[in-house]
Amino acid sequence: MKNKEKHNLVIAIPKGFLHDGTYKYLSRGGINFTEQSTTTRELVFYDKKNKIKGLLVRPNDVTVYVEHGSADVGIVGLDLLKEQIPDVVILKDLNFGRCKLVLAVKKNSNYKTVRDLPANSKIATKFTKLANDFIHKKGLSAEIIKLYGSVELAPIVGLSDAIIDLVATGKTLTANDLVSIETILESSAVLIANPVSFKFKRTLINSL
Amino acid sequence: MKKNYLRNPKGSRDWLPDEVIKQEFVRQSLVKVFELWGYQPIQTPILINHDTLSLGSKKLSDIAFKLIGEHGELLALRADLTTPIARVTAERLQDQKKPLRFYYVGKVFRYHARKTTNERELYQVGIELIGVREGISDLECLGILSDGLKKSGLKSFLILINHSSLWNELFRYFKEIAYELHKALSQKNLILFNSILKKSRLTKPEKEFWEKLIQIKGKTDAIKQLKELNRKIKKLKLKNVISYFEKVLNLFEENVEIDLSFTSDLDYYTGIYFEAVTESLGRSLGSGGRYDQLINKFGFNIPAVGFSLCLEDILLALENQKKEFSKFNPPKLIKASTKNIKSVFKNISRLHKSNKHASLSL
Repeated sequence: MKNKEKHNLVIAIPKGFLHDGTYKYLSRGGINFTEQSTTTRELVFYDKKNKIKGLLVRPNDVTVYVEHGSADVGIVGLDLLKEQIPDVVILKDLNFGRCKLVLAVKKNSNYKTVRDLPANSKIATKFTKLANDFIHKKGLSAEIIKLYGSVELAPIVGLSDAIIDLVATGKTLTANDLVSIETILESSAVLIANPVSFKFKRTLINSL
Repeated sequence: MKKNYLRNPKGSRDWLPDEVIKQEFVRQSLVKVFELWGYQPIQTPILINHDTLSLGSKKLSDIAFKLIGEHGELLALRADLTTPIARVTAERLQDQKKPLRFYYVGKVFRYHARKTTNERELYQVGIELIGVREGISDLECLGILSDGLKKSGLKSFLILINHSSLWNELFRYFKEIAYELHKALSQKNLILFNSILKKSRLTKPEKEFWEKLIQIKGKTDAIKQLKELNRKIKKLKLKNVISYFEKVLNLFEENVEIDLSFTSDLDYYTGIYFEAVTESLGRSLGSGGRYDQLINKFGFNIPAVGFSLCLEDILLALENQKKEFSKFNPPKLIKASTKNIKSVFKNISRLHKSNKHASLSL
């Protein structure tokens, strides 16, 4: 919240999947950043007319910036929000960036439903909390293997029996001969706010 | 070869002299205000019986450090000071003339003291006003909080208030659905709040009532909005809580606002509850409220109101606001040998008497 004299609002904007949707969404609300930062290496950019500052951050880090108050608001996927459970105000569903968190297995495997998974099966995922909640809810005993990317690789090389990962179009799954057997969470972009910012800048934040 | 030093356990920290000077400044400015208002210091042990804690608040006992005593009894490190002070009041102070006005400065220990940082050991500073029912005693409490934050040098801060009887009345009138909505709000989840509302069987005006209610925040304008809302659902008895808010806002023209979307973090408040926030820190500086049933749990039915602030957070907010703190005042250094040591000591003691800092040059 430094430089608060200069900027009415600081927005944490995720790189990657939600980036373009976020820009479009903000632009519909009249917020236009002069630098389209995907082409440059700038991480901070401005809408001088509205005195708004944008921070370009990794999707995983949006909640961190907002929770600490370094950004007043941020746009984050519901999947990450449920995985990280930050202390932030969850304002609204922005209805873009739709995707699903699914359990997927190799196409030619014998696992047709969750129940077919063997005892002590291995599940590779980036979402360890959501994965643990899921296996707990289903009464499975499975080992969660934390990966940071290219999760689809794990069943191919025999690292795991299944994966829990995000799917938007399903193309990546198909390309890697994987098939989804259960949807765990339907996700979309969500607007979040720092609780203190929400107290001081409520009108402005509600107008987003 | 660099030696590997043993480190502090996770979440604890050392305070070096220049940091202690700043900490002392914050502590002393607050304590000064408490003492001017007639409050007396009280201390309770850090090591407590776990039962004391769990009797007070489940939320606190969940995040407390637990230990096993010599004979297998469950002990805990205190996770707040309000609960131990409630215990000592019931145990030893029943016959004292009321009200009791106490202030405290002490460390509390919590796993997950807060989500954004790793701290597990924090200083709490606060007051307890014991033995007076709801009324102007609440105003005294808010006045002290406001004075204290001003004296600590915080530039802009807000004290946001709400009252548990607002929610009690909503629970009475709306029943089940009000509990669900309250839960969504306490999770700060407005998506959930709106989806519960949308799916509910409430009438259209009732749904509008809820939507507008949680947006109410501010001073006299906010009261006006609340009155207007109440007119739409007349069976909802909000007259008392509205007049309570009016009394508070009449006295405090700045720094105090009502915020009806705000639910209390702790589970023992029975009247007003509030939190203090400043723009230079992304989390609240402290909170408080009325807890008329807490001391009763320890066997003494007596009302109380109070607040506690996190010293580290006030300090951090001040530093973010670029406050200048006074620096260490180095002593005058005087050379000495075994021959003249006696006269040098006399000299030093003379300087000390006139409050000048002096020490040996070594």
